[in-house]
Amino acid sequence: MGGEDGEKGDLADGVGDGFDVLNFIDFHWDMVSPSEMSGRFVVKPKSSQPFGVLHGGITAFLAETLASLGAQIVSRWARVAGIDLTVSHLQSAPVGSEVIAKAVPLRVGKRVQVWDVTFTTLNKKASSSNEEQQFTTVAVARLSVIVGLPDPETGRKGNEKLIAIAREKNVELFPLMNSKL
Amino acid sequence: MASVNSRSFESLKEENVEAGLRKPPESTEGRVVIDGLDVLHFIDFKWDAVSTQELCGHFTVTAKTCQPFGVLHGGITAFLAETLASMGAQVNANWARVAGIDLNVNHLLPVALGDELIVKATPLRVGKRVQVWDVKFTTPVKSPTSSTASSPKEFATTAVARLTLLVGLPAPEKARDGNEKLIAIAKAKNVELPPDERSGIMPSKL
Repeated sequence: MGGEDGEKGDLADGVGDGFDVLNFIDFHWDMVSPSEMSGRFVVKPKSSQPFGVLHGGITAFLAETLASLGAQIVSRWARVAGIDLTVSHLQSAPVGSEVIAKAVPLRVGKRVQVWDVTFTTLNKKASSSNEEQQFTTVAVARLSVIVGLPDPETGRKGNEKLIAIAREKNVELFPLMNSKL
Repeated sequence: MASVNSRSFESLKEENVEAGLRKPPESTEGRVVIDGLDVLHFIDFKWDAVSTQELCGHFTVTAKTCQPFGVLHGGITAFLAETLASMGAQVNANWARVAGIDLNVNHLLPVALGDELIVKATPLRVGKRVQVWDVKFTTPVKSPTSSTASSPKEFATTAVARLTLLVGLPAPEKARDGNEKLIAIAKAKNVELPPDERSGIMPSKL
């Protein structure tokens, strides 16, 4: 059983919990729920490309991650597989800026789910002048996911972590089954 | 030779380029080296070829790069597609600034923990303003009668991706470190890339 493993996942069986790269870029979760998966991170040199702006591949990675995890939660921990990812990079996010990533489901079906992911950053010019904050969209992405594949035991660790994160945000997710069906 | 930024051109003399390459990445005080290769190091990616016609490399799927179901994380595929295609575009655009605008990835097959993944990016279109790159991900197919002598000849395509990029934007000073690293990697594979001088000379050797 997973239990409280601490920050680093137990790698006894060689399978991680899928959060390695998220930790690497210092990603913080804001919401984990069946209707929204969101978090934020600050663009640092390790997550940027040579021009001093956010690496587009990190955007793509986050889109795939958030949407896939969301699909997994909504499908009650069934195995999901992302099949088609499309990312449109609209604006650059320089090193030092905070990027907020938010994934919402567009379609939740029995066999196919489609998730929409938006990446925004605070518009510096607007925030200094008046109270309300203006967000500019850095990128948009969409992931198609097939669901309903047989659920293996190996997904357990990551799933338990997700349940814990959701609980911190006062969201109670569907519980994991204890026995294999 | 006329150049966009004469200050950067002068600093790119032979001795300066050599010294820059010899310095280990994190040693210089106060200078933040952003070469865009951090996450590539993190996933233990190895380069096979760097040229204007193709960029390829390979890596083995480990716990760091797989998702909870014991297969390669699709986001890593997407990240690699964007990285290789962008670097390829930069090499082809004579080190001008490039910006990826539209990435599309189709995941076709899962890649299990421990398997090797080969990544290859080739240009579909190299224009003055727009470039389109195709990236293909393959894995060697393990045949039941795998002989010890010969290497597996069959490869299965696990994912395909396409990236559209804008080129021709003014290149800033800070991209130099990453560009120099790419030139060094190409040299290691016996490919001579044009130097980062922004002099407007198109690569003729390749």
